[in-house]
Amino acid sequence: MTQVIKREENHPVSTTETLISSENAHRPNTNIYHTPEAYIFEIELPGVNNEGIDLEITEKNVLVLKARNAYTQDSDKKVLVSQVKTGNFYRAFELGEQIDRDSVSAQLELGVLTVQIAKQEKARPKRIVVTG
Amino acid sequence: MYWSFTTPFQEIENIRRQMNEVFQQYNAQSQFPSVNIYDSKEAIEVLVEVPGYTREALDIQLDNGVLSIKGIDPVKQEETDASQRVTLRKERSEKSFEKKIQLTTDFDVEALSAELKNGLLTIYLPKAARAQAKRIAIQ
Repeated sequence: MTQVIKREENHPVSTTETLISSENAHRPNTNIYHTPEAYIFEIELPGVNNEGIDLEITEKNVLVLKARNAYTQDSDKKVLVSQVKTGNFYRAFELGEQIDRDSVSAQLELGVLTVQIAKQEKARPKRIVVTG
Repeated sequence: MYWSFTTPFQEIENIRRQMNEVFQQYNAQSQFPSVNIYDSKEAIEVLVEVPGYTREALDIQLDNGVLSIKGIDPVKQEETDASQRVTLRKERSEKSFEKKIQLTTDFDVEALSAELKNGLLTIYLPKAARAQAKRIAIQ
């Protein structure tokens, strides 16, 4: 069950052509949950819109998120404080064997990307009925 | 000479811990959330990173030159039955926050505005006419 969090990878072997390398990208804060049916990822991407997100599950079941923040500042303003993350975001999670690759949904709301990945039938808990 | 058995690493660790305590005392509130502050001719602009916060969960006030931004716990327990949902990793901040920023310029309080988009809050504080830089023509 906990393999999702234990095997997080910074450099997934299967994506060699990374447009955004993990070195110069922000690592967005992520909450991960699981229910009997699915894994749920909540990833903070402030300032990112739908077009700025590139999300894939590789052939080795690694969830790879690359995102780009559309925020740019006008050059005529004097910057007094600069803490807000701009530029690229990158995060990758190894999902293990027991996910259903065909049942994935993603939704961006209020700067938080929620990715829901269903578990395969065999990975779900099964209630056993006692008879006799 | 007194010989201490603490390794250099332990010493570094101690120093690090002490520094953290100091930072926590003075800075804890100001670290989160991240902000940008811009100064242009006409206005001060404050950009705040608030992913997950709805408009209703945010409260902005300007009082005596102090801009205060309050946010209430963003992580909503959605449709999913909470008892069925097990947390595997928790990195997102769930605390309510209050951030205060001391600003000195006089503002046109009637024209203050704020916009929330994609988890970024922009607060626009137009400077009062008398606080704007003015070029002085030489006669």
